Amino acid sequence: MTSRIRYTVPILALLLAVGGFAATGGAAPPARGELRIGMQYDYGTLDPAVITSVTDKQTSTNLYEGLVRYRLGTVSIEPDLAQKWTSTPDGKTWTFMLRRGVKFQKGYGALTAGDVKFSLERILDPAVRSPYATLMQALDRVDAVDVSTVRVVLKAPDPAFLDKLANTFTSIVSERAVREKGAGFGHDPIGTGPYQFDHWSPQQETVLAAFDDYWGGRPALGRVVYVPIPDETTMYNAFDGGNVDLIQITDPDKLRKYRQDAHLGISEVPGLITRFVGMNRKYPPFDDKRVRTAVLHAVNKDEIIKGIFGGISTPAGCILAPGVEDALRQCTQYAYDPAASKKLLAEAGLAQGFKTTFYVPNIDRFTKPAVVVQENLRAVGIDAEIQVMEAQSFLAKLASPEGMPMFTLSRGQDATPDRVLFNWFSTKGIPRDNWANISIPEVDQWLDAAVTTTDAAKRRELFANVQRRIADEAYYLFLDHENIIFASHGWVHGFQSDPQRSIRLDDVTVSR
Amino acid sequence: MAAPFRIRLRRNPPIITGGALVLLIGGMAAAAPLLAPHDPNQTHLFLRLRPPGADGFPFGSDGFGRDVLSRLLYGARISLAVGVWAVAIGGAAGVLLGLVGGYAGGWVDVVLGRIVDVIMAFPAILLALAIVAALGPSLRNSVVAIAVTMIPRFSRVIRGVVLVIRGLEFVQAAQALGSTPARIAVRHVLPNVLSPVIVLTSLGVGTAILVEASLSFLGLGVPPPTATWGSMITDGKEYMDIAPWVSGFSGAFIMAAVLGFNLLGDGLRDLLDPRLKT
Amino acid sequence: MTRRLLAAVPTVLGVLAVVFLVIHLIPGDPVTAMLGDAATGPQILETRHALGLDAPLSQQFARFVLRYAVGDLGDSIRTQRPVIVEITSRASFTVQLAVGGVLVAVVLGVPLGVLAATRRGTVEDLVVLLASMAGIAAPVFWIGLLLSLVFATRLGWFPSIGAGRAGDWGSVLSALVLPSVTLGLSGMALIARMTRSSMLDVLREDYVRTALAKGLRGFAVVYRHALRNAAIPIVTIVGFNVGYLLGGAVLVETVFARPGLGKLLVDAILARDYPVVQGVTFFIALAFILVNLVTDLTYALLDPRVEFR
Repeated sequence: MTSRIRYTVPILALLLAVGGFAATGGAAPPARGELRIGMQYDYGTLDPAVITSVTDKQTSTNLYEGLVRYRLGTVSIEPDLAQKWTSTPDGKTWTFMLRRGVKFQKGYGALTAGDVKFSLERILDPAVRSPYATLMQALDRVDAVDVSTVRVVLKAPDPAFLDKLANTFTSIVSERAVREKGAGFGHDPIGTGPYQFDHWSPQQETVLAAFDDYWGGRPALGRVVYVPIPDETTMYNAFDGGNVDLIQITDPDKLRKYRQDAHLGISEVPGLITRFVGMNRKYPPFDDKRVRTAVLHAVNKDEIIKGIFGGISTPAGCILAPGVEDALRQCTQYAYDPAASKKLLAEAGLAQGFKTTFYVPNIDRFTKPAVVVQENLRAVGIDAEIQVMEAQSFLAKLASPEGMPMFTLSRGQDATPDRVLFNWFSTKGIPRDNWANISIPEVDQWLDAAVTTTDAAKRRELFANVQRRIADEAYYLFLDHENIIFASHGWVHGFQSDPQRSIRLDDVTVSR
Repeated sequence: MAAPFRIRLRRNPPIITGGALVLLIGGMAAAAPLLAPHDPNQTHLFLRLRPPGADGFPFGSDGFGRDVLSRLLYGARISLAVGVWAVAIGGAAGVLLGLVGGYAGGWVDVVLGRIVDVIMAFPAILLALAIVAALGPSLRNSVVAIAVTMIPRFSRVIRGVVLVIRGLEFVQAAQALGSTPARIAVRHVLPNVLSPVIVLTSLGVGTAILVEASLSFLGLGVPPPTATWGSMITDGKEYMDIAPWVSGFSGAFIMAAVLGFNLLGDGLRDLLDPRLKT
Repeated sequence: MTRRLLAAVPTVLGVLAVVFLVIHLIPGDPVTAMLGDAATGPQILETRHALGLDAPLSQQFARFVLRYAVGDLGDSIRTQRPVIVEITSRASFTVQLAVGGVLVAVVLGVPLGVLAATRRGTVEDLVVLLASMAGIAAPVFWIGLLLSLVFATRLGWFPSIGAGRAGDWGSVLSALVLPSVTLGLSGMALIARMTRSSMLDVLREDYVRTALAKGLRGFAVVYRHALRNAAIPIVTIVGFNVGYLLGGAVLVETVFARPGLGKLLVDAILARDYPVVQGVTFFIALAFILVNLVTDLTYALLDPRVEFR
């Protein structure tokens, strides 16, 4: 009896002590508050010229600024670092008047036209190997007219030029910093935004601290912490427990649950994004259009969209999200028809079906529909073995010359269709963005013409042709356009979702 | 003197409980096509996360509307298959190593002993993970990985038995009389090796099932959509608060299967040689 | 003692061999599997050379061993940082977890084992036996999920993820509780069983039975004495349990998103970051070997009857 008590008392004491620690909570957050944001995976690089993944973009959004930007939550352009701008009637020369008194973070001096020149021209520098070089191929040169005036000269008028300047890859970096840090700049960035890079613990957190000399005034938050949590359940648990303050919701059940909680804030906006399943022409039998069409007929798109994503996405009528300029609302649809699918396979000589490997990034909003797609394909005799890969390595392999036979992902878009349609479907986009290895001379011609003409009607017609033709060729099953939904705790104020999935903290404050 | 076999059996609750559990699991696995009310991979996207008993899902449905019971039944097949095959292959290799090392002695024994030491230098899950990391996740590779981790326990015990037997007078006498090593192995070594092997097999299958479940949980087991108990826990973990039956049942079944094999192994150990201490 | 240490050397070499082979067992070309991105011809050749994949196997292995001997475990493909840095920046989290797990296992397991031994044949004994069998049989990640659901999500007593904030011991300990308990529960089961059987052996000894017959007064003294004798095998069990715990730590860190070595390993496997996979595997195996050595030596020191071979 006595020995039992002797053991139980210290055990209870230990548990109580530890529990007591739990109540005291963490270290005192900085006076202005700390915002903890849950991310799906860690960032890869913070160098705007080579940023590719969405987490790169989200982590650098509040670090940098560009000449112009989108009004939050919309796709209309407003001034950012450039206060005013003019262009010549032929659209080839743009002159930007820079804001005065803008400083770079960490003592890297004032923003000058030289930094703008450097930032834009380095995108074309072959040593930088920027994936956006082709997009900026219209750029002839940038002149620093004086310390706060920049003149950009284009080789040909670019109707999407301003949108490109609102994009992350044209963010203005400090020339001195890039020259100093070289390849290390991607992990030690210097911009003009309200929050500066503090430190990075790989796979644990990326911390940005307030940049008090920000031209727009003292930032409202003391710290911004990005926490990579690849596992969805862990992410939701972390949010529920208050370990993170802001997360993106991609699960309708969770959304329903959170909507019912009056203490949480939900910000939802239709996304400029399309989710899809793709097939690569390089891998037979996907070079046979009948086979591709068979795959598209085999998948029950409706059931997937309603069943798995009920209410948090809109079915894709064509390729681009409806909010994108010149997006077609409807093009060739492939109805759910397993019988037709089997017939086509038989015609292609594959009545007994075939085997392939279906690559999926290990993120729920892709693994879930992938399981159903696989199931649908099995029903028509196609054995698609699912290979789940970690997100960053998936992206790397997808963009490699080797590529993947079959894959699923989503593609974020801009207000103008140039970047996406061009990179995604032009021969010049192989293999980095044109993952299906599409190479159709007509499409190339249409794209080349569309991105260089300023005639809006002509652009609309050319882009429409491209979309129709690509949809027709059945390389991609375009599923839906997801809504960008963020949930935040009651102590976070002023957060607004962005259709382009950046996480802008313009008016965000934290009250705890 | 040891009591008669049957009485020892009856006095042995572990064997009875363990045996019952093992038979139950085995029966589930064998009769899965007959017992399963649905195709385990058939999705019903408008019947997701139904509670047990609803809509023809005796144990409820998972996040894709697949029947949990059917997946449990077919999952039993994978768990048992991997468990049994891994122990069969690893056990056979281990017995062989133990026999050869124990019998040959000398540098052969030392070298083989070192190999076994190296395998034992890794915690089992770690070794299995490393092997699967290299070979890629699949049913076959899971079996191979777990089989390797099974080798040491078999080889050590068998080697010990061989050494003891070799030292026995009548065996040495037999050798002197010209009995071939093979004959001695068959007539003297094998019968004595049988009991420990049976016990180790049962315990081993229990461990193998746990390791397989762990690999599946981490996403490194048999790839989807094949139902495995471990991956069912992974599939269900995000719904723990609203639909605990998806993860709950599979975890319970893993526990039952492992418990069954462990109890059986313990009971067999007591039964086959009551004098043996561990 | 030196014999034991020397005996460990070939084992370590063997471990290195296994770790070395990880890259060579990969089906297909490990370099393209690793690089994946728009790797150009020269890049592939460069990586080949950096990894030493263009030399004969024996030479590669020799270089590999020498590299590891000086602590150069290569660089992580994902973060470009040296693997050894990735390991050292996370090792403390795993050590914390292992210690926590051992503490829970011992603090819960030993008393339960004692209880069962002294109450042999009664309901309490049966309960402890069943509970420990269940604890051994239950998947540790499942237990972790259940505990997380109840104590973190529902009750909010402890955080469900992470390892707390550096320097803030309150948050560090708080984040350690659930993972340690999860890990410790299965260890507890084993220790309870072992404690029970070794206590039973000791309690059967004549001198103990005599002391017990003398009356209540002797109880405390007898228990202390019996427990001390039973402690020797218990210590060794705890030591050898560390390997089991290290394996369990991999799973527990995944469930609770603790940024330790286990999670690093799993993430690296999923991302095909082979240098990290190799480095972490080796590191954990080495730690395991060292712990076993220490346990061996402790056992030998504690029990004067054991001779050094």
